[in-house]
Amino acid sequence: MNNERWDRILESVRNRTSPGPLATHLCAVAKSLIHLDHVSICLQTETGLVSLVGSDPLAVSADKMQNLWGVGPSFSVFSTDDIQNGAVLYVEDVTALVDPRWPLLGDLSSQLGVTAIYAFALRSGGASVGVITGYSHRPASLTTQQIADGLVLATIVTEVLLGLQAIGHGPDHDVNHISTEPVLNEILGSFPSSSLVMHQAAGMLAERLHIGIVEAQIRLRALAFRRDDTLEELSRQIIADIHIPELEA
Amino acid sequence: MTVDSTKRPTNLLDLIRWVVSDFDPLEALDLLSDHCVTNLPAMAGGILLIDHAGDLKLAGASDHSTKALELFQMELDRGPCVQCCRTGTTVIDTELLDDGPWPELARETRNRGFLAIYALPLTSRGVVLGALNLFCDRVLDDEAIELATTMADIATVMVLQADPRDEHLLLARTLRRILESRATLEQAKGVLAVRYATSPDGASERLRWAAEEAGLTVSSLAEQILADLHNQNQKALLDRYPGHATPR
Repeated sequence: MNNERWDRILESVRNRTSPGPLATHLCAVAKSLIHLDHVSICLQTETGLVSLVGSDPLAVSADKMQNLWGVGPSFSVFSTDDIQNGAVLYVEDVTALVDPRWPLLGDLSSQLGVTAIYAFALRSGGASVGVITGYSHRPASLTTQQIADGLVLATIVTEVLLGLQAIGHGPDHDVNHISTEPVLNEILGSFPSSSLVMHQAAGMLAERLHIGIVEAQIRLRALAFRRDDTLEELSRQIIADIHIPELEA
Repeated sequence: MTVDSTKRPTNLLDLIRWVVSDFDPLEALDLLSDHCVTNLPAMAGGILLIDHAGDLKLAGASDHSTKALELFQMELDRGPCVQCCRTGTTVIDTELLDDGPWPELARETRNRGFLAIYALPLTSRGVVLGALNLFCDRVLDDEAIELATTMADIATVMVLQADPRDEHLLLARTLRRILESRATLEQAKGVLAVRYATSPDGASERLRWAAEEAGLTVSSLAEQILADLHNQNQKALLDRYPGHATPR
């Protein structure tokens, strides 16, 4: 498909201008692309959302407030009800909002001057990988096009985070410190590679190895990198029940 | 009239009634694809939607076998459906020539016993949402093409029904929701295929049966299976599946 939006956003992710960690770069891309004042990325772990990186101290503080309450758009974007909304959840003016789910959200304004909050879920099928949260000092500051850009960026960032963890050979690897250029190129080399066979294979792997669906996706990618296979080719082999020795280890 | 939204409809009229009640768009698109195969001389049917990023993704399919998925995926590179989505017009290929516009797809399609491909656009107010794709073992007559066009229109309503307001973002979110559900369903099928040593088709049948038995949508049961992978709260239900196990 001729796809201006997709190419434009992928290009800005690939085009690194600063030498810092990759996660910081992803935040910077989100900030400039979607026109947000502050951006953070959190990873979904078994114990809940864990802050990975923030564009600046304010983004980290705003995340901490949501974490302290244990509720907020960055959390609710994962709940089944709000996924019905299509993986983005936003409050365009926290001072005007009376939402029983988030009684304290107005504190973001009184304490940090944040008036709008945008949470983009990082999901791959039934797997929750994390969330990108954007904070803005102006209410209702994003256009429809910018939110649509955010949805595309979330898809790409999901792939990068899964790929980074795959290269680190495990979900515990600290992806915040990976910064090498070839890594990003390797991950995004054949992107978008996500396909239905890949999801089917991830489900099979999760059941066979008694692991979670996110870990299954990471292992699938790690194995594809190691064998120099495409994700799709490897997935087909798994579905066809072709013996893959690395999976028995 | 009240419609039991958990009961899967068996004919086209019921399907339409079901769509205007509470329904699971993903399941509805699968069922519509099934109806195309039942009511038309089509051997396989699938609905491709243009996602939030502008990519074509499979949203519904009559045949859940990996072979059919492969065919649709080949279509994603180049084929009648892609052209249909680009132009918003019906694209028909009844020749499948080796030196035609998509030789690889034509060859593969013939090898699988199909003789013609029909791609009908899903459009609303000038916006192309996707396409209904039919693989047939014979050439369709005018009456059949008209019925297929109606099916495409119903698919359009199904997609828009979830949020009928004509707004680009809402549409993007709806499409994303449907496509995420599709990915979730494939993951759950993979899980059940291993758990019950069955084919992906067999896993799909078990999933549908259990969803109907529990009064759940297929999408929400798939979500639950993945959210609760190793506790297996749904195990007792899934174990009761009376169908024949389809060996791998």
